[in-house]
Amino acid sequence: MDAGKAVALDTYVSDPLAEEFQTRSMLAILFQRLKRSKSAVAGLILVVALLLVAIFADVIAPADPAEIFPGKAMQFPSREHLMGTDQIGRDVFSRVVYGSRISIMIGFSSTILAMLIGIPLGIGSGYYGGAVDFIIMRVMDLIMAFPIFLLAIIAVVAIRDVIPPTFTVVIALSIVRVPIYSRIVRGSVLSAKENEYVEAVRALALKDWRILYRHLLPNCMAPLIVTATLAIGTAILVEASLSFLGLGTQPPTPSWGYDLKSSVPLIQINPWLSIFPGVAILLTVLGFNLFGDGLRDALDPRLKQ
Amino acid sequence: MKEYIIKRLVTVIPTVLGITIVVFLAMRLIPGDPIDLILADDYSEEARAQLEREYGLDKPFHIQYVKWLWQMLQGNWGRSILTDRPVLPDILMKLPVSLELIIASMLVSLLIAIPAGIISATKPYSARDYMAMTTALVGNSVPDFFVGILLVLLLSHTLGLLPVNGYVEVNDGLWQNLSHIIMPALALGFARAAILTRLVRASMLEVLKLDYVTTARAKGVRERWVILKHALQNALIPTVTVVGLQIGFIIGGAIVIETVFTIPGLGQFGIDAISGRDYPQVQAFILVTAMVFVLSNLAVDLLYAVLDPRISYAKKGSE
Repeated sequence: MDAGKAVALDTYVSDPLAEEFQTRSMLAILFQRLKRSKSAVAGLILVVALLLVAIFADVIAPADPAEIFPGKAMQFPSREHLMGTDQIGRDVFSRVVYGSRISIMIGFSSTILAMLIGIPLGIGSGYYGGAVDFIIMRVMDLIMAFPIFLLAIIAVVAIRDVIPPTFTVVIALSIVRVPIYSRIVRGSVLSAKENEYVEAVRALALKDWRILYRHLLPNCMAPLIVTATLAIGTAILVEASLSFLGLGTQPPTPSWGYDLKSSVPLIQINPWLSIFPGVAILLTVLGFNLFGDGLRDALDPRLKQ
Repeated sequence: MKEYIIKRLVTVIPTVLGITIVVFLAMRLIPGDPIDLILADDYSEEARAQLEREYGLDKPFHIQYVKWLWQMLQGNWGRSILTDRPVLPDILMKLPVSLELIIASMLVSLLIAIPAGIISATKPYSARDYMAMTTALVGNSVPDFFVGILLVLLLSHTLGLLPVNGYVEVNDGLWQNLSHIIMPALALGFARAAILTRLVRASMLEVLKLDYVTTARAKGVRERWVILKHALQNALIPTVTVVGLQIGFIIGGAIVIETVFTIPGLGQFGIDAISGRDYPQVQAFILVTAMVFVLSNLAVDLLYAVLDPRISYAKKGSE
């Protein structure tokens, strides 16, 4: 790492005003640190590969995921069908490839939605304190009084008749994640609020939202990014579980969880039907977990050289 | 400690009330008016108004909630739409089955995690440490139900050791019961074991560096004894906290695992109710599952109070 960049990071930490001008060197430093961890690199490779598969699904997949090859049901993997065919003769490889799209879509959009709700709530809670804080935090406590998966099920049950299934899952998965973001943001706002530089910008009579956006939010970016990365993996895992129960993505959309569910009764005849979608889920979640852990280490200021 | 226990018991009350509020609101969010359903073809504005009065639906929301809560407290949980049987006794029958699965899964995860964590920590950065840590990493990313499917493939279909699915009550034979619960418990416990192994390893490594361990070694205490008695006791305290945090995942996972292994517990009851849109049953499923969560968290916190290091320290002093 060259000296100039290290200085740039120090400036960033001590002076959030400079943040905007140094985003690039910050990213460069982050990448430098990430490269040092083998598992983080492995995670990044898995995540990038998955994104590429999802984006270029129509190029990679040899067939349409819904296309039925007549007279070819339940085939084992072969040169013609890399992962075999399912019970009605669809190409499993194509289904696994296309399945990445829904997983990625749900993983990312539920995480972004949760942040869009959770961050403003956390800011409001930490910055204004008092009754606002009390009410928001009690609602968050309430959400956390349920196991994540049960809460996701409750949300699905409550809204599935009014909202299309895929969006139902996205909303359910974001609701369960809102408390974690609001708590992270609230915590950093509370501690940052007391800093002198915030006092200073207040004295400059800047508007509240401007103080929050420009001066308080950058302080909690690191934990937010790490949490979000790990949350994408969890969201994909929970989506797969919901679809496995028939409460998530609905056919004809190809989904790993749903395909696993329909493969269970056939497991003795063709175990590959279960193995491929299962391994796809495993690799995806593993990628996000490894990458998230790596990011956490890279962003940890205590590990700074 | 008594003060702590009382305080902790009191905190359960707002949590339970909160849960009932969420369940009450969620059930009312579901579209479809019960009055429309009851009246069907005999619909008229007067009949509707009369029924609304009868069920208290003309009252404000908070009054409706209090009335509903009062009914629930009296054990009046409504009748199933599908079977027309009272919901409460039916769901209470399912409860022990799920509890057995949940407890067995926690035991499995601890039985894997503690030895694996110790083995890793006593020889950090060795081949066996890397192997344990890699397994833990994979375990943390794999869906429970996929582990379940793989276990069925291996232990039932290939090796023919255990039954594929189903459930047998303890009264009908202990071995029969265990042979049906082992695989689901392994599937459910594996992912939890992954997280716990990393934790046991980390806290063992911390503790093994402490002076009192060095002192014990210097006194000539055998290494095995140093690790199992002196170090492990303190390393397990943070583990208890994390076991508590894992309960939610185990309860959630149990819902899925029960459907993989067709175990007639809460999860299967709930999923059947949800797909059959049997809302009195759904409501009971959510309430009971959430209660299991709250009470098991309470149990872990109380256990934590018992394991508190200062308390065991005092005992040692008097020995």
